[in-house]
Amino acid sequence: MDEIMLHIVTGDGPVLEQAVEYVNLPTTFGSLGVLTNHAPMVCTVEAGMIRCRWSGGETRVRVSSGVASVEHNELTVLVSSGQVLED
Amino acid sequence: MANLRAIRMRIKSVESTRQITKSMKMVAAAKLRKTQLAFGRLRDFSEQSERMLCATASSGTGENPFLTRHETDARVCYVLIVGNRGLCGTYNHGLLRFFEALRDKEQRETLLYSVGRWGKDLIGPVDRHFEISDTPTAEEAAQLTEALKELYRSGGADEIVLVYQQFKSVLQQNPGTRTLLPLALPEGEGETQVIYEPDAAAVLDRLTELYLETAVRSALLEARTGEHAARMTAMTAAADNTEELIGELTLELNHARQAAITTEISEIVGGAAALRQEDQTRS
Repeated sequence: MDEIMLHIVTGDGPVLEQAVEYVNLPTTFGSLGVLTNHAPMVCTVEAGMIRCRWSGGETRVRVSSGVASVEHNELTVLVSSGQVLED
Repeated sequence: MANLRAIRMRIKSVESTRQITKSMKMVAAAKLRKTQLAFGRLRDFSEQSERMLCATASSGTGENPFLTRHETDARVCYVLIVGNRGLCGTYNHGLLRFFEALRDKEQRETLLYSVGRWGKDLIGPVDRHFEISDTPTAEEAAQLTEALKELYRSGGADEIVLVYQQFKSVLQQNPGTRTLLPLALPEGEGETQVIYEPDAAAVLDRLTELYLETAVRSALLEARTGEHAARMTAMTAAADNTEELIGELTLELNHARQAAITTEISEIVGGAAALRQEDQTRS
């Protein structure tokens, strides 16, 4: 199965680097789901929760506002701060 | 004997100087590691945000106040980032000299914002002052960035230039400038196929915000990294000098002690000889 490489990066270094199947982003215009082979896009991200899922599990990352860019199955999220939530 | 005591006291005082310089060197080394690490971590973020910003800006579909020059170019604001303390060689003085030369050449009206505790009396009157810790945090950078953005947006300055010691290596920092605003971006490939959500202007706004904050923070970190490196180098040299001085003083002390012993022996020998002579004349 195709996967998207998710990078969540802050000024203090990367928060999460994970190959995932599905990502849900909190954007300015509401919640946005990203699957593989998404068209190239740059969007604004609002403070909230990024949820992502892959075959072996899932995780949530609390982030502050920033931007996200999707291109060639690479999703890069640049935010001021982010924290992976342990369930 | 008085001489001996004086030398011993000097050795003691130089030894305590050595202690101080050695611990200052250690502290500077620890802080250097910390800022260098933070600087390295930020670099990745700053490169990515710059790349995204270039691509978005050169797609030409959005306008942003920070990317456009003012119509007038009458006022420039210099942000001088000096160290928080002295005892770091020519780090602060070199920067100040560089800045003064820059200001003398400047034709436009100048504003001066200073960052860092060092040299309030030497720098002279400033328009605004900011305190930044030894390991600058994102919050401190955000505060400074906000003030600079406001200054540019309100038309208080038509150009904002950061002046600081740029970090080349632990042994070398060169004073330099970086124009923060208006943003001058290298030409990126205009990606026309990209979708902007909600629109290009909003994305550009957010990207410039991130980029400016990162630029200010990386300048602060670079300046502080240089400061700690310069202090470490200066304190290493100082500690080495104290070692040398202690060596010289110990030699001097031994000479003086030997001289005192020699004098004492010759006094005893002289005294004994005098006594012997007295005995001979009496018998």
